[in-house]
Amino acid sequence: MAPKPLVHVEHVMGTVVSFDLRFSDETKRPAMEAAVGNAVVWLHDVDDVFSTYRDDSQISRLGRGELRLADCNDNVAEVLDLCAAVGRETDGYFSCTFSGRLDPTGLVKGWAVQRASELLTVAGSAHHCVNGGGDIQAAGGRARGVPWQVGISHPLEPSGFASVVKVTDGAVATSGTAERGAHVVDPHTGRPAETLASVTVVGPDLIRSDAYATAALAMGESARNWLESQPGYEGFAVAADGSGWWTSGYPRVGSVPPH
Amino acid sequence: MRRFIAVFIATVAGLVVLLSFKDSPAKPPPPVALSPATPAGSSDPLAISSAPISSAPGSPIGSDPASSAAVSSSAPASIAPSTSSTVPSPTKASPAPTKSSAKPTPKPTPKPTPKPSASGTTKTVTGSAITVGERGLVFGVVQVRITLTNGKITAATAVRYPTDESRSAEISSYSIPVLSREVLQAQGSSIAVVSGATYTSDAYAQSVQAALDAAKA
Repeated sequence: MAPKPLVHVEHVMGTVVSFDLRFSDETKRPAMEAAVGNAVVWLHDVDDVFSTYRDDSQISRLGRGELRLADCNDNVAEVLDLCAAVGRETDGYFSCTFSGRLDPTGLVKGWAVQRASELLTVAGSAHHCVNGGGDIQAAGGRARGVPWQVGISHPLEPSGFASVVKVTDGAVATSGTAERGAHVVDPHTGRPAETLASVTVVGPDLIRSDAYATAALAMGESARNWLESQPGYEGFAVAADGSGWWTSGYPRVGSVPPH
Repeated sequence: MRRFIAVFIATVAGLVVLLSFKDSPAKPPPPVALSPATPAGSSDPLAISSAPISSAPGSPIGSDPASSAAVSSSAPASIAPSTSSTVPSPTKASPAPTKSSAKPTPKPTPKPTPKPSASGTTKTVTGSAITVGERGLVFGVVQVRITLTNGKITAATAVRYPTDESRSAEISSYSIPVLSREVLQAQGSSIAVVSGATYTSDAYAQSVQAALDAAKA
């Protein structure tokens, strides 16, 4: 019988990060626990540097001009570079500026969770899934040849699902208005995005899957064609009226209603 | 994708219908003549500009080398609802009144008869590649080739049409039903993890993910 999964839940970065590690040999458990411990430390370190809720975080001080980028942790430059790249890729719909202030929060969580998953892999975990507040980076399936099954929470009925995605190595991110209200703002109008209740993006990496889902929510209806033109990423959206759409490749990775 | 095909079919069907009307003098007063007619209420869907088909009086259809047809259509294209010619002077070519009186005579007497009397003239016309879209969404590119024999369409082929490679989105919106955990479980799906709109620490306690984590821990 396969050992019990190693599950850990960590409250960090203003949300909850769940770890689920599978392994075939119980003797691996101590090493896997240590790997999770390292990943947890990493997430808290990221929070210390990037939290916009802390006045003394590097990102806050950088935003106020009290700190030069060169004096920040190397990760800050990496994240800001990613912000700029994703901003270009999304026609400016993804932005690391909020209300005129530097705020890379929209990218940091996906980036941090993706790096946490990479830390686990390096430490020898072949099958794991890290869920950062509903955004997932998975590796290796839950067993050899068995993909992780990811339920996509239905935005209008969160106890049920809108779709089920199968992923072996890859990311699933959902951005929506459901649980934090209209927290995604169209950077072009400054108004909350409201036409879509949620957008799910499936792709190889959580950094872009998460940022693209956020951007798609802000785009509204035009997200459909934009997502369609992103190679390697598939999208599934549910609108406020319960209707939905998906990209042409989505049915390869996720379930769609019969039609 | 389906809608694409529907659009494409509608476009071709529209062409066929329009051109058939134009070239079937047997039909009494053609309700839609290709060149001048713009039926009331038509908004835009089909705009056809076609040099050869509205050929100048006397010139046999098959002889115009510079033929091209441009079709612009906004999906869903309805079949033959509207035509508007962008060719400046085709009006004389097909005056409806004359046409109604013109029996399909083999003699090339009246100018307006679009049908050349000569034995089968076959001509192939390839339309311009056109982009089909709806409300700002681009579905893809459609290009149609038609074969005319004595001015009648005898074949229509798509030389370009949207394919899966064009990565067109599923165009229609569908109702997204709620899949219950129980039903999924009964179907053998074992959901290990839940993706959803960002949950806060508080919301996590209420989430399906929390139940899954508790079950495994």
